[in-house]
Amino acid sequence: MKRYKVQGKIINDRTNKGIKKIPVTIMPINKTFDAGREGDYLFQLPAGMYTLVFDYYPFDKKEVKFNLQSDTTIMIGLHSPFNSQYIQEVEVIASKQLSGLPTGLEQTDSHTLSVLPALVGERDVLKAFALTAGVTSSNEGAADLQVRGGLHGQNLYLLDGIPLYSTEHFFGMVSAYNPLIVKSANLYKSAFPTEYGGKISSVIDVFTKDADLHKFAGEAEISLLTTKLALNIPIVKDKLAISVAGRLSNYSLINLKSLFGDDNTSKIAFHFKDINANLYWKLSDRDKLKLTWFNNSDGMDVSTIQNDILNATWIDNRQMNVGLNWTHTVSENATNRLFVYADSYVFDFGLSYKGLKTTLNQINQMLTGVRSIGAEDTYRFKLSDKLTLISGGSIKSNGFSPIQINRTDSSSTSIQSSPLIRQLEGVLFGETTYKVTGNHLLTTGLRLSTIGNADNQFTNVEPRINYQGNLTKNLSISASVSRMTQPVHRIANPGLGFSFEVFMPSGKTLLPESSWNYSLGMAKDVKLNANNFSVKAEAWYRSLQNILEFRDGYDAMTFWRIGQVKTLKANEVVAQGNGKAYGVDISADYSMQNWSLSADYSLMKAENQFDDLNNGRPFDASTDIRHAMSLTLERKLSPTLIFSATWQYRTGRPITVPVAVFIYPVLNPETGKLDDPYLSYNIVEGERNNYRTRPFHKLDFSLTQRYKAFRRYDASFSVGVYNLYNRANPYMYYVKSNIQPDGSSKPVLMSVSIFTMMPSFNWSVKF
Amino acid sequence: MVFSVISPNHPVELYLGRSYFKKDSTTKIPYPEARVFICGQDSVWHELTMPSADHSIYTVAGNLMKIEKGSTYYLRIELTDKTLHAQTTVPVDGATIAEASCIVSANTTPSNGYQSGSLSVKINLPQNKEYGYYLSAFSKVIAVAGAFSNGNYQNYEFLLPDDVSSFTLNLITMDPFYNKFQTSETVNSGQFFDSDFITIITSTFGGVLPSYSNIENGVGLFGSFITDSRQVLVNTQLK
Repeated sequence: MKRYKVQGKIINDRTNKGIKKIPVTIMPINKTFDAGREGDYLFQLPAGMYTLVFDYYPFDKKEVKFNLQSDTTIMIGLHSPFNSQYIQEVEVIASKQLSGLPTGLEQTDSHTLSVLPALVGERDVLKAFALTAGVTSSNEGAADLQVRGGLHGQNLYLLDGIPLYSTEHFFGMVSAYNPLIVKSANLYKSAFPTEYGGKISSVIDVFTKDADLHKFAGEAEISLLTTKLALNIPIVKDKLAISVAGRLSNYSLINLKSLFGDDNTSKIAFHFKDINANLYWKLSDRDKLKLTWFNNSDGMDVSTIQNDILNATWIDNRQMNVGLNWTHTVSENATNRLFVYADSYVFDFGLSYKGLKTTLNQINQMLTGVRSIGAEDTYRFKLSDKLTLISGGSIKSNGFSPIQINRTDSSSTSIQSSPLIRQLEGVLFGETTYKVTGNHLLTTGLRLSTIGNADNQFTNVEPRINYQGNLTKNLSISASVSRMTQPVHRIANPGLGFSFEVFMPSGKTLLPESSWNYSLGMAKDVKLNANNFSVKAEAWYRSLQNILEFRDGYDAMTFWRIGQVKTLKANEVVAQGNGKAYGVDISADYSMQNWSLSADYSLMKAENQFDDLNNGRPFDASTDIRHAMSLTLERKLSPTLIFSATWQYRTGRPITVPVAVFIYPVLNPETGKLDDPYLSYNIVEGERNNYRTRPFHKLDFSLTQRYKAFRRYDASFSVGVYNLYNRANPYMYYVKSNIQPDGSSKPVLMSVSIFTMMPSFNWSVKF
Repeated sequence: MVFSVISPNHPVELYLGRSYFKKDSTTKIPYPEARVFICGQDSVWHELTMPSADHSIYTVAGNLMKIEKGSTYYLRIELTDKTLHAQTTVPVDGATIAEASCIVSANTTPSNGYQSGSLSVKINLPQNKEYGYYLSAFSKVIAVAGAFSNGNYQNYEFLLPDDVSSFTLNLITMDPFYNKFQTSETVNSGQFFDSDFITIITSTFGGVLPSYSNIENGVGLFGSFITDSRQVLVNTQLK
């Protein structure tokens, strides 16, 4: 039987670039193969009717029918939705095309992650986002995000659709997203789709890579901080595969104290690890199951032995979630996704004293945690070429255990718990995208949610309107209005350190937080000879209602210190008030053949007003970073050698520092008299956030060499320097007593810089 | 800064200080022109005087003022350029000691004049959730409310002078202002000066936080407390 050649190329119709190694299925013979490195393919078939099926996230599924009667060439263009991006192995340096995309959307990809300079060589998706306009981190080195005047706890962090409670590892310097398994990462700063909700500032939607059904593959990586391994294992070819990725801190098993002396009675150990696993089961061409599991832990153990008593302190932060996605292709124009999941989060902090020669056994332990289970269904339907519909709903059961304090001594145990709070959450959402004319899209949607229990019930209505249009081929504009609400509050100390996070639902004492978000933006792409220049700008305004701040004199550890958990109400520790933030974000990309330059700048102001704080007067929000700028240069020195550098500048952040320190007498409770000596200190701050830290700026660079390890495997080795010119950026401030020459002491404000110039390396290999 | 905590059966005393940043010696009188008044339920303003020129502590001469449970007291301090105001209501129906015992082992070896014993206290806590409590003995705070929130306090390493056969145990009930001030001072104490390693990594990254004050036009505390006392016999037991 004569066989004919079928050849062609599969391209991304947004970028016109070939899509590397995308799987192609030939029906009805049901044979699957991978396209080549440039998306090219070539095979031979006997004459007949065939269908090529392209079904690979994030591209829309496409089927191409053809009658093969002679040698044939077929060019295939695949389309990805605007809010998704295919990021596998993008190895060319090219400018980002910005027109046609919402100006409030930021995306990052594996290429960016692999070449950006990274603190201690640890690539991080959140730190990549922190370089974009309108986004900062709470402090130097922190793997968290403050988006357009919002706080870290006001961002919705999703991992495969499941909200993460804690996103921090190792003093908050590393995020919980293992870069090895990140497939796509989107950050929404405005124009929020209705399927997202529950937080008021931004949405960070991270999907892990699907397990590949066709080939065994793996990747290993070592940095100064961690060791990582990812494996992809097909179990039943074309049907079932599993991928597993793990990350372990390199110092997990090391007693750091032993590195600095021969004191074997003391121990200091830090550790973190996380595991992501996903099982991908292709039930049929129309049905796919994806089972995901995520488990992370983070903590430290410190112990000393003194006077035959073992003093131990521990912090243990554990988070786990499991989710099952069933994606069903209803028809060529409709898909349905059913998603069920469960998660838990526990923070455990404690001190213990155990007598080595006595029966002494005292434990003081504080726990906080959340458990939830939920289900969500999303239906996407293309009614016509002009009208697309997305609708869905979800239900979720939450169990909050905000504070539990266990105090045990040799003979008794006292357990104090804030009451377990159970709440049920129901959500309905729907949105339509209507193509008004040409490339002008109007999306209108509504999200309705209700959360509570028999005691309290909150219903939230969140309208969302978004316009996206191309005025010319390379010039687009966008505008949006969105309302967001947040029924679950995160109460935590700002900044780094082991973040003691308490998640408290709205109830009798706390109202849900909410925001109105407005944006107006434009984007333009310009071709300058062979070079590309893209620029986008978005002006935005955000009003915030019922946001939280600690009351004067309180912090997250108040629960621990004063211990009155049963009687302490949340609104005695925090106050609720309003805020507003507004600004302009500008991003520009310029690329030539072998280099590219990105610039991001944000001018903004954020201000809060609380009736119960600062005597009711407005004050700068802690997220009020007036100017933030980052420059990123990437230079391809050779086909395998890439140099990159980033420079960041941020205005100092507002903090509260003392304006006065008093010392006063000690009260003798037996006599009621004020006794000498004066040993008590009273610190007075005056205005809240009355001081700004010194401006933050630093320069980082990295050099990445790609090569074939063992002549066979793709490998890369990166070296870099963090804070090249050794800027002493203040990390924290505190008040210290300095002894003067005359013997008296004088309070002084001290700043502490932690991240001095430091080298980094990262080695990775794919097999 | 104002610091005054009044209580029934105790003299009324008030400290008036100035910022430490101003390099004032604590023994100086920062506001010599100040006039300090306290008024009770009888609406009579009593002026406080300074018995010593070495300390900026004011008191009601001759202890003429009687502080009573449940009564509200008003403070007024007149300075050259401003007047400070505050008020407090003395707690009523405070916490009480139901039982208290202290046992010292006969085998215990005193060290530096102190011996270690086992102190057990049962406490009746009232329902008023805004009050604060602490236990004191030998003029020192020995436990705050978190240690006995279930009504029981047990300390197996209670230090007491080796020559006492009994001592007075005091249970203090603080009014809401004193309670909040004490709480914020406890929080701030971990953030002032050089903190220990654990405190730094668990807390001080929060930055210095505003402290509590109930003084209008000034800072500090005008609060009140009541005391329930119990004489505790020290029992020596042979093991």
